[in-house]
Amino acid sequence: MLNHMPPVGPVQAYKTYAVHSPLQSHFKEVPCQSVDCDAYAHGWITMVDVATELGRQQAGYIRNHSGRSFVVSELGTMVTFTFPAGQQCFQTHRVALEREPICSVRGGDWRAVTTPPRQMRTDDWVDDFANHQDRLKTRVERG
Amino acid sequence: MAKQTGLAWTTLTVEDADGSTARDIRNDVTDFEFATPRETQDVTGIDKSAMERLLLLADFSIKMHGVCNFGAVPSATAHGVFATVPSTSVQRTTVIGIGGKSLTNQVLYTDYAIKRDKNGELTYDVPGVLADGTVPTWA
Repeated sequence: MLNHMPPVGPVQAYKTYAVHSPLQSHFKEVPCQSVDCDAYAHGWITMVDVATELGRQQAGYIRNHSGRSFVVSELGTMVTFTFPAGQQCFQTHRVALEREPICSVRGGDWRAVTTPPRQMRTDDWVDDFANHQDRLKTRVERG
Repeated sequence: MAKQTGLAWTTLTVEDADGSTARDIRNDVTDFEFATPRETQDVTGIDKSAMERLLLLADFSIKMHGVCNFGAVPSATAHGVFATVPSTSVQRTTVIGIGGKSLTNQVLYTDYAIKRDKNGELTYDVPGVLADGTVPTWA
């Protein structure tokens, strides 16, 4: 549960302007080289505790399925895998595709959606948002 | 068919905990939204004071959502900016800009929640509210 400030009015009294860039359509996964990944450049160390179920699974994955080369050392139940540089790390790197984001307007706020989202072109969204804010500002100034 | 502008988001900056250094966090934010009052709907009766309506009119909230990035240079990532949210209470100037227009807000962020879902995505949500009661306007 997020720590929100409670809004002053009921949910029907709000209108939400949203911008979405879904990972599936607006980002692409890239290899370590493309993002100057430190683990790729210098190598990295992964330590797992094989006393735990998670640790055993991680160690099993690294040994049997990861397809990466490593040097292994063990100290008690702690297993240290040292990966030399020049390999893809375990992180997923993403870069933005610089696409136009999906802009939408809907009724309600974070508590509920009162009218379904309406998708808009970015220019129209900015225009609509700007007009809306301008109306509110005028109302506030009028008192 | 409507013309496509092909615009990418040009500005999305949030200030650091020092309240003066703006950080560009576009790369780490995938979604954000503003909940604004609906001007046409008066929620207080006409017998109420105008003050209540004013409060509502100035009541904005913001939510950002993105992918965690614990980059090598923390100050250049959204994590570097938002990691101080739980420990500080500082108004952060937040600017969004697109198509030559920009919207500047003084925002008080109230949470920095990190979530790992079933398929391994590590994402965060940061809600905030307008801090100074000034209605943000596009410029």
